[in-house]
Amino acid sequence: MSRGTSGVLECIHGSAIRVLAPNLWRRREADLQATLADLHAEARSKGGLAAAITLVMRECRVLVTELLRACRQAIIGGLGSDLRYAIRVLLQRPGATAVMVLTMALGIAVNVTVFRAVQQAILQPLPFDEPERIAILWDYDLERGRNAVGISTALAFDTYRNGGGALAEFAASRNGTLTLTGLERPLSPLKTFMTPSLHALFGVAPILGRTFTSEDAALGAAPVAMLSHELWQQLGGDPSIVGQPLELDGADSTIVGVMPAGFRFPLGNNPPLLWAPLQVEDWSERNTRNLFVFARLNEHISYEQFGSAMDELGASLAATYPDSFGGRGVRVDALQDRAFGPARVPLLVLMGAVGFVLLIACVNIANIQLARALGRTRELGLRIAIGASQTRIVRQLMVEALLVATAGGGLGLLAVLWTGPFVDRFMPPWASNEFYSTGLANTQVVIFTAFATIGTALIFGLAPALAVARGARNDATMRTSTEGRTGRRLRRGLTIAEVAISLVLLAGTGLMVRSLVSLRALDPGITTERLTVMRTGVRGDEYSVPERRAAHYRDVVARLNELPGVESATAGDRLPPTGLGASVAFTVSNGAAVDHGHEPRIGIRSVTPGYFATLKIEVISGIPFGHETDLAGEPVAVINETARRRFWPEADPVGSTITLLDDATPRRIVAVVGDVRTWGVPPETPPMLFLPHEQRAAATMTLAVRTEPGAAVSVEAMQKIILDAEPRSPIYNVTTMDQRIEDANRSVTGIAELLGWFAMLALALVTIGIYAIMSQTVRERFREFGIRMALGAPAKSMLRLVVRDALRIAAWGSAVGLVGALTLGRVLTGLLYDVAPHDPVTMGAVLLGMAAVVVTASAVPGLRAARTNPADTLRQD
Amino acid sequence: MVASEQSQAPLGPHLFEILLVLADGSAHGYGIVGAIRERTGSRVVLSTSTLYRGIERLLARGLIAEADGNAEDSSGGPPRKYYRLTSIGRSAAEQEARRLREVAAAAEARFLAPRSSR
Repeated sequence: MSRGTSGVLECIHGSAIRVLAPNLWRRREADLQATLADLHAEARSKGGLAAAITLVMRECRVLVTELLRACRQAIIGGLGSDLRYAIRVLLQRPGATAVMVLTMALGIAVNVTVFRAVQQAILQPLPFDEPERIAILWDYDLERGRNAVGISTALAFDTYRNGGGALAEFAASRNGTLTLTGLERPLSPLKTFMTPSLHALFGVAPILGRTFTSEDAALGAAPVAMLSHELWQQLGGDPSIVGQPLELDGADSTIVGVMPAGFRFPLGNNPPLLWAPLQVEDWSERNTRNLFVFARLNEHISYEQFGSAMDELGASLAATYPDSFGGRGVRVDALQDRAFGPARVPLLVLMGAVGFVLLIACVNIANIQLARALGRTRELGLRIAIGASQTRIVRQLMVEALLVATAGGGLGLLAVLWTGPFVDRFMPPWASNEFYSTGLANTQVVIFTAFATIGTALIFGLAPALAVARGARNDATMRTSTEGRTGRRLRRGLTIAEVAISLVLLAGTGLMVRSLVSLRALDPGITTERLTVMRTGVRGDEYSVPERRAAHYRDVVARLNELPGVESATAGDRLPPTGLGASVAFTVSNGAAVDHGHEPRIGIRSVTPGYFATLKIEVISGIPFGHETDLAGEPVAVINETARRRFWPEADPVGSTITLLDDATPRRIVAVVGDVRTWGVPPETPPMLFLPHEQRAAATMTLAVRTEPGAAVSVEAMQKIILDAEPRSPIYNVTTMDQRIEDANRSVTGIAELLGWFAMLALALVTIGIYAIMSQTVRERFREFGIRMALGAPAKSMLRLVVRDALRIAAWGSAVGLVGALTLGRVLTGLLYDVAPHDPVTMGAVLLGMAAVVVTASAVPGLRAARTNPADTLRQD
Repeated sequence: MVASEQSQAPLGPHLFEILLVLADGSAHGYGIVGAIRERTGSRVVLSTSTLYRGIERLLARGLIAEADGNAEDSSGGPPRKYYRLTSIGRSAAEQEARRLREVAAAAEARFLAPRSSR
């Protein structure tokens, strides 16, 4: 072994001791170096490199073991007595302790509550096998961008399946409803039609029976169905249900299987109750978009690979059938992202908001803790003087903080019992508790709470502990210090942080509220008062003829109109507020020219006469169709204002014809009506075409009944009319139009309202915080105030002094907060409507509001300062 | 006085080994490590940090002391510090030896004595 290598090893050996046992090194450096030199010289002469390495390794092992032992001793040694002492100290001032514990509990409770929603909506994997490999495929408009997605055609699905078979397994589903008849009251379960491979694709096996086979999906096969666990239980939970018949729409199906509880497909708030095999008559159908396409990527196939293969297939479709697929592409999403995509931003915003609330709570507790600890500097100084190390003092204070945090955390977790349901009420459907029945607390929630608790204890405990321990040492060395400048500066810093954090939260809330106000101010396009809404349907062979369906609804609407107290009634296949829905390509006789293959699309609604009058939709020009229209008559249609603006920008469309490509029937446009907008952000008014129900009769319709002012018409009476007309009709989703709009709005209002609550909470905490620090300041400057007043300063100036001081803190906090608020605004952009993320009005209002709060919170201590009696002060001296 | 009270406490095996070496005369750190290794046939090899922690504890308890005047016999390099046994150290070592003898005797009687057949 060379001298150089030996020297390096000796150096490493020495460094190890120097780093891992610094005190020993400091005390015996020369001696240690001499011994090391001897040892390495010996190793060099005897064993060479191996001996020297063994020497170093042994040293390191010994040093690390010793260090760990010392750490263990420092943390655990004497912990019991620290704990007992901490409990005694906390109980000595029960008031302050209670305030700290409750503040903490509040902060933890709101955090855990929102975390549960985040967990349900984002963190929880989809209830399928290896969900990350399941993709959903969309058909999208290249021109309008990747967000203009739609569902696929049978031909597209078939093309993907044949062309991409090496990369993934494919399956498709279609949503539909079937009525479960043969029960006491008809039940309308949502039903999904699926290709046989879909269950296999999700990797979830039935608990009873089997999944669908390709024979089930063959045209003309005997109808079969699979039940959800819920429906199975609803039907009595008979374990031998497989093979039994089930009456669906008056026809017999055979039950072939039951899925396990918790299997939900499609994802959504109303999970389907049963599934039937998807039977496709014509795999070359390329104009009806009605299929959801799924793929399970094979192992080692990335989304990029799969996506580019699908892009090619999409391009080949567009080249072969430009009339159907021209200008359209294929978009591939991981199902997991798609399912929870919309929830992510709002939930993270909420999570951030409650995180801020917790931080503010921390700052308040830290302030209390600091004030209390500073009051104890003498005691702590004494402990240092009789031999306690500074570490020991910090640990003592940290144990107190941890105790407070643990008590608060435990209480907070309990409080979720109340805050949970409260917050759930505001949650949009995708984040509500029904989505996943995870229960109140689970391992993740408990772990989250534990981390939040310990984290907060570190935040609010460490800074005061360090400051005080330093102060206490000064005290021990007999330097005069009742309250160090460090302490005061730290408290001001904490309060500045508090103001900054709450300002960010307030600004975010302000933006959301402004956005909500703008949304509310928009004209919905209909009058919503006194409108009762319910959905119903007719099924079976008898109603396979359109005339029969038309006659049924004509009859029901007429009878509803005759019901005493009813102002008017109507029906539509879909009622506001709904989006575009299925759209159909069309051509017009005198509109703007379009290329073949790039025909515009329009949403279709099938409505009974009186639809526009009942919903009070404005008629802009022409006269909407009335009772005279029937199937034999001239095909007519009504368009909305958006359609007119988009497709007849110049001419008056009334009198011109529109031809839908799906039935190639020219229809005369008889009227233009006002737009009815959708809710959500951004609100939309899609182009719409209204057809007389008589000419395009749907089986499932939504009825809308407007009652006369002051009249009380029972829902039962309305339902009786429907059941009298057809006893097998299911009736569901009975509600009011106001409620429907409220539900549609919930994704925006819920977030805004929750943010509002959290902001109020934050503001309350800030008020308390400012009040506390200003009271403390007044107490400290008591003597100064007395002297000032004795020298002739007016009482009012004392108030001004205190308030100005508070405002100075607030100004610093606001400056920092404003920067944060502008950053937050950018995150919120997607949730805002008609409000700029840096909206100066909101920012100004928030700043003014903060100033008002600060003035109010500091006025009380300020008045106390103004009442200072100079004589008292001087007497005290 | 404190030291003599502390000397009542049993010595750890490493400390006892150091005292054993120093009973033959004063020695420096490297010498102590080598002597222990030699005596135990490399069964006990002290690491440098263990050695000096032991030395510090023995110094604190007054069982050993730094010896002066031996620095000149070093073979070049930095000067080495020599340590010697104090009288308290000697009596502590004797006490420990007695304790060990008792333990050894008790152990021998139980484990190493020829057993009577069952």
